[in-house]
Amino acid sequence: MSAWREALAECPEFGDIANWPLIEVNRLVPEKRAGFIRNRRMVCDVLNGHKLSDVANDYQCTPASITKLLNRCFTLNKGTYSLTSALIPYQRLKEPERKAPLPTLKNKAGTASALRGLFEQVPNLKKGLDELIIARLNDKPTVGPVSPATFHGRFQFLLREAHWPHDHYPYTTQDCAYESLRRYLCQRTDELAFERDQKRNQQQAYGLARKLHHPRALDRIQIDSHDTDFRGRLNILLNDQLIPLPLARADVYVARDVATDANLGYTFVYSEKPNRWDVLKLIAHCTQPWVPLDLTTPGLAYEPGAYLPSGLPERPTITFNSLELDNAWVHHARVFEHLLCGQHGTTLGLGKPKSPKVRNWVEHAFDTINRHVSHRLPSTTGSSVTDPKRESRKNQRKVPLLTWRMFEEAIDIELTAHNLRPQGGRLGGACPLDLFREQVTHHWTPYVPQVLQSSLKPFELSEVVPVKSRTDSLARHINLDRVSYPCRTLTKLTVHDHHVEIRYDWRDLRVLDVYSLQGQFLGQVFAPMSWQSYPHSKATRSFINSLIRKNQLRSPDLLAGTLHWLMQHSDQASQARNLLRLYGEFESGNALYIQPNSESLDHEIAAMEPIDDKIFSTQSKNHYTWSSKEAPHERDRKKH
Amino acid sequence: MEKVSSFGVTLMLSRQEVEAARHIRSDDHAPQQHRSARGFRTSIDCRLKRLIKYPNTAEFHSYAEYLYAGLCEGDPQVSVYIPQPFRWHYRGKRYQPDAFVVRSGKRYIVELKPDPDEFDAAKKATLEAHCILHNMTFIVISNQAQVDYETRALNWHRVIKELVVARDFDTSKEERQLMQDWPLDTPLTLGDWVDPGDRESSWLIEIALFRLAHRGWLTPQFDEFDLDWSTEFTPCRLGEKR
Repeated sequence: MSAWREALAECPEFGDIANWPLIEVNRLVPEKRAGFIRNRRMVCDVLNGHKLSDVANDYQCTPASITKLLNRCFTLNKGTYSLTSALIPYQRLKEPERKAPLPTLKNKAGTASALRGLFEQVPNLKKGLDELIIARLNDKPTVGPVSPATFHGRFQFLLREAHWPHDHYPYTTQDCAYESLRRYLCQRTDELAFERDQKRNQQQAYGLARKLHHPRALDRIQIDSHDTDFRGRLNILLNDQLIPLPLARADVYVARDVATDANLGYTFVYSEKPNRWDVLKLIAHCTQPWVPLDLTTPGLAYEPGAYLPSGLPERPTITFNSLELDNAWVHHARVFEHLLCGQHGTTLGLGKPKSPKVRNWVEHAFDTINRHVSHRLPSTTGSSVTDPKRESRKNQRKVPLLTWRMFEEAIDIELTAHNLRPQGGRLGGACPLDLFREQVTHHWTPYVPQVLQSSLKPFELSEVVPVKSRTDSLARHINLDRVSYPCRTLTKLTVHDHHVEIRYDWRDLRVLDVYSLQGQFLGQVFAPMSWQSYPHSKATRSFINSLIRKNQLRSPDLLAGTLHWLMQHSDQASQARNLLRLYGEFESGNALYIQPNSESLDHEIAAMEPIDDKIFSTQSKNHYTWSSKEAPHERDRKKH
Repeated sequence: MEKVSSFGVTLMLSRQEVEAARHIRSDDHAPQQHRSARGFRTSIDCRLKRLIKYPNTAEFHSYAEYLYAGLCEGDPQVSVYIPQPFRWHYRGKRYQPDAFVVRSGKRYIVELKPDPDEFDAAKKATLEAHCILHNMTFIVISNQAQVDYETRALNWHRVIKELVVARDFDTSKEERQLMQDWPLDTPLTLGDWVDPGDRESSWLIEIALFRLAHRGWLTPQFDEFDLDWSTEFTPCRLGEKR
């Protein structure tokens, strides 16, 4: 039986030419099209049951030639039949192999497929050449453009390394196999580029499928920060004088639910770069019931029914199954592991660097803010100095019209309005808030019972700290962020308690709750009087400590002194943001109105020694108490 | 062949295997998670999650490792899972396997790769020999094998999240009640036991159900769809676990 009949018996589905692979005629070179069509018709007739002899008569050829053609169609090539590709005239079905020995000076032979034969005989030659092509495709910095000449040089280098004899091919040819290598380079580059693109497409398709695979509320939340264009002012009322402070750019942290496209919360970053406290504030804003702001800007109003999900009347529990952030080092803080992973059981996803598209849904939130809020004013647009939307120089010199409070209110209104806006595309015209309600009501979502919700405190931190005592006295104290908290109020503290656990609200470090390592409540400790005047956070304390280390702050009342220092440096936009944050902490985020007691400040300033650079550098050691090597008790010890 | 004694067990290894095992230098033999340095953590697709079979925050260096951890959590045969358990040195270069797993009493060192065939053969032989000497088995598995069970792994991660939140609550009473009230060989859905409209009052039942599934007394249908009220749980036969 002919080979083609045996193959048809094994695979009867190929008896219908409609099941053969399709090769479009117009993709063939014109010279081969006529032959291809003729061969295809002959095979079709045979497969439809016509006799070989009849088909041969019709096409004026012999039955043997038709049999040969059909055998060629059913030749196995890498485990599959050639089928349609065998119908192309003069088509090489198998890769050519070199069977004859390679030409040498003694043995003159042809060079057909000699390069392939050389690859088989010389170890690592093909691998070395392919590595060069792959390195170039992967844009390695150590590999430059690979021209045919470069490739040929690499080829000769590899041959020398393999100690290939010089009387063998390719040294027997005039061009030393240059042309063969050039064709190999072109062909192999296409093949490897195709493989690389296939992998990338698969990964992208897999990533997209993964994204679409989680259509459940609170399953994936994306968080990112954005430097929002904002040129506004912060009004300070001091001694009945209104002082406008410039503010340039505002970092906004936004959390968005991937499945429903709902904005869960936001927070402003008051420092130059976001820190872990900003992220904690954002998490608190998402999980705690949202309360609308008291709007003070004329013309601004919330849309009816616009909420953040935590503010919905049914008070759904907001917890995160997985949180996606970027890989900024601030997101690797231990406090997130403790709060999110340890308490909420959340998966913290800190993605690859330079991959903003992975968190594309939250990026849409920034686009919304830019389009509806920040880029509506001429002063905020303009990425280049020639942008026509940029504010004119005349107006730039004037005090900005927009205040910080207006900006806050606009952002709040816009983010809540988005939750009420029908979204096309994957949401199918539904609005995020309705979708969120539907998901939470009718589908399983992550849940935290009420008994645990009160214990999930994003503002509470706990640490185990040593109880210290000074060498010159029996008084014991606890140190936290370079401040000593006397333990005289801890009546239950025993001499055996060398370490205690402190729990505190990081937004207000004036008071700490102290527990023994066994969990027994020992009492509260309070910060010294110099730190008691206003509530202040860990970030503020760190800022004040940095000023002290730089010898820029010396005042009996450090908090008031910091305020005074910030007022002096308020022309700098970064310090204006610090002032804004400080005010928010001092006044618990109420109206922008601060009027410190100017007389007390003058008294404090008069009490301070004049800061002279020359004197200060030598006197600093006497007054500077923040160096661990020059702590007061250490200096006293050295003296005595 | 050479006789090598390891952990009181005499092993027969070839001379090549013994020589190969010497290329691995290990400073510690007790598996514990080795957290990565800052530069590495910020250059990979890092994930952090608290697990049940590993009682600390586990660090994953890829999505495949994260899925693998979920599958291990859902496998009742797995009793221990430790990510990045050792810090070895192979021919002067540091090598950190992806996971240490104890399954059915056997210890495995797991390496996850996009293509297991691309793993260096000599290095693999060395690691296998080294692991044999320490009564472990070194295996290389593909990332695709984890992605094929992605839905199951992610569902288990959702369950683990709930169990982590509820780790301080005792649900032994609810678990006994569930097993007593459950009809034999009858699959029931999550919604049959938990009231979706009042999750507060049935939260302990929900946790008890997840714990029974985690221990292998219930078989959840996690392969096709995300966890939902219609997800079926089938009890195992009396005395048998999944």
